[in-house]
Amino acid sequence: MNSSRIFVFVERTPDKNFKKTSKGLIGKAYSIKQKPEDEIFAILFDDCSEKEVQELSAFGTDKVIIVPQAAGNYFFAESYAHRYIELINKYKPDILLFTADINGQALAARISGELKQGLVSSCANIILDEKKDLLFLRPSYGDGLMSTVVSNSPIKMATIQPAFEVELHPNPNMTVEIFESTFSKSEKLPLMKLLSQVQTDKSIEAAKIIVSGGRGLGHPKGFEILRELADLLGGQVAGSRPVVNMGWISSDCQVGQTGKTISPSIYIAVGISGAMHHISGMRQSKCIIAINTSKYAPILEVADYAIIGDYQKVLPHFIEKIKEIKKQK
Amino acid sequence: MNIIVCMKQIPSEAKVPITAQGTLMRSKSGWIIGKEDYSALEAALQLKDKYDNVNIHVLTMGNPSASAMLYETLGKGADEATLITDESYSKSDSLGTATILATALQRFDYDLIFFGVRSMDAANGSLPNQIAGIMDLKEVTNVIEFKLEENGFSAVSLMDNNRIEITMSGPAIVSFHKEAYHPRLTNIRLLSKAYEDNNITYLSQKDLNVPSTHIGWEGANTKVINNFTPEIVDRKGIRFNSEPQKAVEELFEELIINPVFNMEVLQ
Repeated sequence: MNSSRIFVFVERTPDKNFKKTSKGLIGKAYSIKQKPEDEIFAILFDDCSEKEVQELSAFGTDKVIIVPQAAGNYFFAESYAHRYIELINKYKPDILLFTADINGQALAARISGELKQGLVSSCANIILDEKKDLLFLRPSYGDGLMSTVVSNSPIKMATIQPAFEVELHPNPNMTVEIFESTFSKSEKLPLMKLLSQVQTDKSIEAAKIIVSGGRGLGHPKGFEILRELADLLGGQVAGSRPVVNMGWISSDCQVGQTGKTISPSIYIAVGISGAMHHISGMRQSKCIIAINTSKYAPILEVADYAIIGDYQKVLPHFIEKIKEIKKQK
Repeated sequence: MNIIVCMKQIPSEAKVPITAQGTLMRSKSGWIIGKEDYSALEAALQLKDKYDNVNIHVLTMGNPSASAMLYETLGKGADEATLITDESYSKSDSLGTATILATALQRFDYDLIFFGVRSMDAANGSLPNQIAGIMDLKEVTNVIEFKLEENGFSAVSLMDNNRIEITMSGPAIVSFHKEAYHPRLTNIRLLSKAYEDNNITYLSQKDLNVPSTHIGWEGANTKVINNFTPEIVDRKGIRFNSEPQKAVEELFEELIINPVFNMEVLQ
């Protein structure tokens, strides 16, 4: 069997740093290398110099392909897909990996449709089994169940939930290529205008401390005390899918499979039972504290600390305790 | 202007039994329409309110009971409705479903094709983009505002923390964010008329003739090979069962020696 090639779609933040999730995705690609000679290609649609991508060599990248001024200044799935397919035709990759966010998912699905290759979406993980076959693990419908999925397509495609931890595998031999697309610069693009940017420092992805509420709060007013605690800790408030669907909190703040995957330092889960969809979005948090009335709630299985009790009685004491600590400082 | 709105029935139950192939036994649950799909329908209905020449055609794929959902959309003001139903289509993967829907869409006139950005059950979020790829159509994803313009339309899309306004001409696929538009009430007179007229169009494999290499379990490119309950016990998990004040005291005795808590809160 020949060596295989893995394409990883990487992106940068507006301040020109590589996204943590892109580095995490390269880490995932490294973990499914079947042989040392398998190659990881990082594909970046951006204007940037060879020097600016050197950082990616730390995670085991073999080659970076920079596609300059790919589609004007903003992501446009059709235009990105056409260029991506040019690269696929040139380098014949075996595996294509994308982050399961809005852009990654749109690009992956568009390519899947154009090339008629199967796509496994929102995987929690990808692994090699003992026969070195590629397995995709994704949350199934409902609570507590995961599915193992295989792809029969010649090109295996997946979007992967954001991963934040990445091991270092320095590759001093990484090469960089700037790819000039044959699509002319006159490609007809829609007019795209930036209206506003969500303040990323206020987003739940950036917060170090998250106080998150679920259906167990009982009523939307329950978020008031969560907000009080979050403010006291300098953190942000978030919620599970049911409370977002009921309109108790905005959908920017939804944690889980259909919301955001986050890895704060401290995650305080209040009245959240812990459906698989939720846990897959927060389990990478460094310290998890759960407050729940049920000692059988699945969230307790991933929590470092859990108080079994009614949050309305527990949180006032919790807040007092934090105030005491703040005073002593 | 012809707008096709693609919608889907999703299970109303949080727990639905699964087949040996890992697909949902959908007939064992009631159903609802997802917020994302309602958002797409309402976007179309508001255009119809505003302009004279808008025709709304709702398209769905599912088992025969999905006709109830189509009647509901007619009761809200859609003009026509089509149900794609065939036993051989069940257990298709997302690319298979996209292929079937693209084949059906090609039979109709359209200027715009609306979707919810994802269904709430499978939550793949790949169907609108896969269909755009198959049909080579332009697409706008995760739209929160939509307006018709002289030579096309403009849409505000939420992309990766940016709100971006995109102006282009059709035909195009547009997928809507769940909070973009909220569904109106069903008009009982329209609903009753829809049931009386009974004019839902049904399409099956006989009509569409999708290559069998793409449909059902046999044609699926991606297959579930097993389902399992993951072991997620990877934490030391200290539990405090005392009454609230004591439990908090005990918790903080542990927290003050936790290095993460120390760094983020105590220092």
